[in-house]
Amino acid sequence: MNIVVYVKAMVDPDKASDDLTLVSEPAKNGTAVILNPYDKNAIEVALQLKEKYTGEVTAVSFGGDIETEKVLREALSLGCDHAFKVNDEGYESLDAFSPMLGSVLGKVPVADVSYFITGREAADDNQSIIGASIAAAVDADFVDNVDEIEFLENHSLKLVSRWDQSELSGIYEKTPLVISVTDTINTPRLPSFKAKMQAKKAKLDEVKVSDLTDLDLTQLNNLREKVDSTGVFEPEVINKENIIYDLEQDEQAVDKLMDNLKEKGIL
Amino acid sequence: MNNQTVYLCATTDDQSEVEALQKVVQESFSTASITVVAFQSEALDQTKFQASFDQNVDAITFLNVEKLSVLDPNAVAKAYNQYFQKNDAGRIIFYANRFNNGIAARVAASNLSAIVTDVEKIEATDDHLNLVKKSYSGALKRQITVTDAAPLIITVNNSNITLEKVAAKETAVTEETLSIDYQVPKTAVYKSLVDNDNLNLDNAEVVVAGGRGLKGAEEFKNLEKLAENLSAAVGASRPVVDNGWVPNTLMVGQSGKSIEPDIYFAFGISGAVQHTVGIENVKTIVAINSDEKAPIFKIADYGIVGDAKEVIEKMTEITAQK
Ligand SMILES: Cc1cc2nc3c(=O)[nH]c(=O)nc-3n(C[C@H](O)[C@H](O)[C@H](O)COP(=O)(O)OP(=O)(O)OC[C@H]3O[C@@H](n4cnc5c(N)ncnc54)[C@H](O)[C@@H]3O)c2cc1C
Repeated sequence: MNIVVYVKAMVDPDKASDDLTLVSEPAKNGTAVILNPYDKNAIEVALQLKEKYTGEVTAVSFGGDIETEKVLREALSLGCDHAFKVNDEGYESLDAFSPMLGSVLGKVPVADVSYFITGREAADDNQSIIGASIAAAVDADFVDNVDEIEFLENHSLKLVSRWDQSELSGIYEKTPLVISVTDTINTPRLPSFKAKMQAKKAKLDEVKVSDLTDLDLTQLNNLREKVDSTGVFEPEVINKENIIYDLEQDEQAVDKLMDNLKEKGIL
Repeated sequence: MNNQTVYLCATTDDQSEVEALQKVVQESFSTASITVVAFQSEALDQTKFQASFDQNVDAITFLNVEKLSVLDPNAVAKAYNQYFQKNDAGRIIFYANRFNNGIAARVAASNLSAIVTDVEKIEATDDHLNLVKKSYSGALKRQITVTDAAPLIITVNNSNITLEKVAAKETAVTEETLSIDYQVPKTAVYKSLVDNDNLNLDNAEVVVAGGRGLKGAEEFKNLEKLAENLSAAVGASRPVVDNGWVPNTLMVGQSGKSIEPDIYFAFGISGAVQHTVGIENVKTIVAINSDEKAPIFKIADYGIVGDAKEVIEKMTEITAQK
C-alpha cells in the first residue's frame, strides 16, 4: 500500500502581480517559487495515511527543473520518502487547460499505489481539474474537496466532501482511490531543521514525458494546439471614490459615517 | 464551428445557477443552438427548474439516474458522460461552483476535452472563443483563446452581469432515464448546507466581518451584538478561523464563502486578495482599520482609520438607540 502525493511549484501570487514576466518564467527568480499552498494539506494527508496504515509516500511534481526540485525537497523535508521529477520537456503549458497532465501524472511509475492525493486546486491557475484526470488515467474513483478524513479499520476511510452549498460523507473501502483535499482539512506540519538539511542532499528520481510509454503524444499535441493562453494581465483597478474618516482627528467619525450611510439609503 | 450546439448543464435549481446559465445565452450565444441538460435529484426539482428557466433555448432534457440514492459527483459525471456519448458534444457549460467544477473536470477527463473553469467572460467569434478567468487567486486575470476544440467544457462565474427578461418561446422538454455503472459509497449521506431559516452569510443583506485586527475571540462577542442591532450576519477572515475564534463556516474568501450582501463592514481586515475575492460583488464596502495604508481601503467605499474595538463599541451604541 503506497501513497502518491502530487505537488506543484508556482509563483507567489504577490510576487507574480509585481512582475508579470515571472508567470511564464518562474525560474528567473527562484525565491518567488513556492509550493502550492493546497499541496501542503495534501502532503499532510499522505503522511497521516502512511502513519495510520503503512506504505511509503512518493511526492511527484511536473514542471521545469528548478521549480520542481525546490518543491520536491520541501515535500521530502516534511517526511515524504521519495520524490519524482517529471521533466516537462516544453510541455509546460499542457497542464492548465486540459486533462492531459493528469494522463501524464497517472503514468509515473510508482508501484502498488492505493491512494493518490492532490490539493483542491493550484493557487496559480485556479482550475481544480487535476484530481479528476488522474482518476481517469488510473481508472480509480475520485473523491473531491475532502474536508474531513477519518481512518477506520481495514484501510477504509470515512471522507466528507464539502462544496459551497452541500456536503457528502461516506465510507470508502475500494482502492486505488484519488482524493483531492481542501486547505481546511488539517494543519500541515512544519519540517525540522535536520529534515531540511537531509532533504537538501536527497536524490530525486526523474522521468521525462517522452519516457512514459503508452502515452498518446499526438492527442496531447492536438489538444494543445487548440487552447492557447495569451497571457495574464492585471485586473482593472476601479478607482473608487471613497470617503474615509479618521477617528483620531475627528471624534464624530463614527456618527458621521452612520449618518452618511443612512442618508444614502444604504443602511 | 459556430453551429456547434451549446449544452448548458445544471445540477441544482438554485436561482444563482439558473440565472448564470441564462446569462451565458444572453451574453455569448444568443443565436446558437442551445440544449439545457439538467440532472434531476433532490437538489433539482424539474417543475421549479423549468419554470425559472425563461431564456430562449431549443430544448431542455432532464437526466434521471435509476435508483440513485444520494447526489454523488461520480454518478452525476457518469450520467453526463453517457449523455454526451450519444449526443455529439459541442460546447458544454456548467455554472461554476466547487461541486460543478468537479463534475466538469470528470467529464473533461473522460473524453479528453479542453476545460476552463471559473470563466468570467466568454466572447464568441466566428472561429474561436476568447475566455477570461481569474488566476493567482484573483491577483491576476488570464486570457485564453480556444480554437475549434470540441468538446470544450467551461464553468462560468458571471454574477457581475445583469440578466434581462425575455419573452421565451415554447421549449421541447424531454426526460431521459439512464442506468449507470457506479455504486455510491457505504453509508453515504448527502446534505444541503443551505439554511434559509436563519440569518447567515448566504442570505444577509448586511455583513459585519472581523479579522486579525480584532485581537481575540472576546471582541467577536461585541461584534455579534453589533450584528444583532443591524440584523447582520457575522463573517471572518481566515486567520480568525485558524485561531479558533469563530467557526469555519464564517470564513469569507477563496477558501471560504463568496458572498453578496448589500453592505460589508470589514473590521481589522487587511484586504489580502484571498479575502477580497469573496466580496467582489458586494455593493458597498466599509473598512475599519488602524493602518491607513491597509489595502482594504483601496476597494472600500467608506472607511474609518482607527481602532476597530472603539468603532464597534460606538456603532453598537448608535444602532441600539433606534
Ligand atoms: C491558499 C490560500 C487561501 C486563502 N484563503 C483565504 C480566505 O478564504 N479568506 C481569508 O480571509 N484569507 C485567506 N487566505 C489568507 C490571506 O492571504 C490573508 O492572510 C488573510 O486574509 C489575512 O487576514 P486578516 O486581514 O484578518 O489579517 P492581517 O492580514 O494580519 O490583517 C490584520 C489587519 O488588522 C489591522 N489592525 C490591527 N490592529 C487593529 C486595530 N486595533 N483596529 C483596527 N485594525 C487593526 C491591521 O492594520 C491589518 O490590516 C488564504 C491564503 C492562502 C495562501
